Amino acid sequence: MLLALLLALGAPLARAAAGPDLEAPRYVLGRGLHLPALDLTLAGYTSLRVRGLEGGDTRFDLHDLALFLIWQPAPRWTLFAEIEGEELATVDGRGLNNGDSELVVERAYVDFAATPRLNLRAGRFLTPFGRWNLVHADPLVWTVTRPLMTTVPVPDHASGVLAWGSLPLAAGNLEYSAYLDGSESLDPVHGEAEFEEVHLPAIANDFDHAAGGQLRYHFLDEAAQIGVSYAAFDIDRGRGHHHAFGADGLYRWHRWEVSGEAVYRLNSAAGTRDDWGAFGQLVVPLHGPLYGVGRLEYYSSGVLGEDVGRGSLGLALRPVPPVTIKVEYHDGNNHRVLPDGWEVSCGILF
Amino acid sequence: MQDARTARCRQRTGSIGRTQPWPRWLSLLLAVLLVGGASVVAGAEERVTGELAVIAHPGAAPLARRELVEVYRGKRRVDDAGERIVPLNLPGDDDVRRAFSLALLGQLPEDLEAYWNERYFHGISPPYVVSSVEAMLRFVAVTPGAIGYVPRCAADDRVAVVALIEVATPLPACAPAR
Repeated sequence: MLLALLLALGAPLARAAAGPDLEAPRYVLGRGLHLPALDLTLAGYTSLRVRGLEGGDTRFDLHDLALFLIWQPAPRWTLFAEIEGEELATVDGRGLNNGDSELVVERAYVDFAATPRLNLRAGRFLTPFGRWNLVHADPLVWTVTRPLMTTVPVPDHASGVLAWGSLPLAAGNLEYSAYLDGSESLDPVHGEAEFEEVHLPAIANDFDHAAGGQLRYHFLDEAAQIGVSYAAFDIDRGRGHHHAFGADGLYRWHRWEVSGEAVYRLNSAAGTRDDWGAFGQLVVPLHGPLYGVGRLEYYSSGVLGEDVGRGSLGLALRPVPPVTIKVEYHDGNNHRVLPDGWEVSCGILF
Repeated sequence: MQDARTARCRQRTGSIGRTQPWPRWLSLLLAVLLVGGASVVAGAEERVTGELAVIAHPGAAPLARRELVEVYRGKRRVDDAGERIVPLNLPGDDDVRRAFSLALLGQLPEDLEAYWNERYFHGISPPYVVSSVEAMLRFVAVTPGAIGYVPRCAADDRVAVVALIEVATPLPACAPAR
């Protein structure tokens, strides 16, 4: 956060120094520090969070501090890395705690633009399943919490190779991605991923092996999009082979936004029922940069043996585009997994 | 709205044909989705009040409207030869930028912030911003792969005009480019 503040304060100076010379380093809040001479961009985001959940103390949390490094050493090549510090500092009834903090490589990959419509990626990347997982950073989403169905049924990271691109189709644009994952042998932190924000057994949520892909159609000048996703995978700790199917949609109209996702996961283990879930979310402009947000979600998990429904109501303030301040109250039917309560966050892209 | 804009964008390569390869049920579904948008745009009568020249480094090939949209959405970052494409923008409050953004992308610069926040999260930055039409002409003139836009009357022989876009909002009077 301090780094973000320093960069923000330095932005006008950097811009003034740059003037019309695009070869000079320049910083733009929300767009990072760009060093044209090195074809390098340094950027990131951070979020602070306060939560008061039933059965627990009010807790203040420097939740995320993520740094992006984007390097384009040649026209066709891009290297991207996201290094994230999680749970960096927590203050609750027991005082300051930073013992749970950790530094993780969220994403690290190299992209090669084979043609204008085909890119090849190798490394660790976000699993292209659903929409939320691909834009999950706090400043980008409308709520403090993340729907359970966007994180439990399909692991959120993959390690391997990915082909992706964009094709014109009718009046819109079809984005595609297809991947092969070999996390068990390729991911150095394999087996360490855990669910966030929920009280679930300490099980890892990593692929062993996976293959899948996504199609996403953007139309109405990108105001609308629909996506379908598929993943076939073996998950860590030998819980069998799974097939997951997802569908999602989003429509923006005059600052209103309606979105939703659904997932169905076939579980192969004998005696285990399938997982399925869905959420729908509505964003309503209230006054200026203030928005009202409502969401309903449900997730039924055979693997976990839990059914969870939850409703969330909140406000989101976006005073300037890279900054989002949110307050939210949620109430559900499974307090063991998702306790009721309120949460506040402040996220900033820098 | 979309068709009107497409018709207004004339490329030197000729007009862009439109086909409808979808099944009828999908068209009906889309029509339902379009109802909301149609109620808004129906009241906004458009009239052609200016023309923008899309400019590129000398020797550049003509650009189709669809390619231009992909470039300004950050979805096309290299050309067919594998050279980097460098799109440029004017500042967000510049009348020329706003007219270009509305005519090509269907949205004003401030309405694209959420879009670019998401792209940025994936390491894709929005177009560089230059301070003036003259700065855009100068940068495009000396930078292979650069693409920009200026009022048609401001385009000169330092750059190649690769497309023309008619806009529905008034453009400022053309000052001498040099």
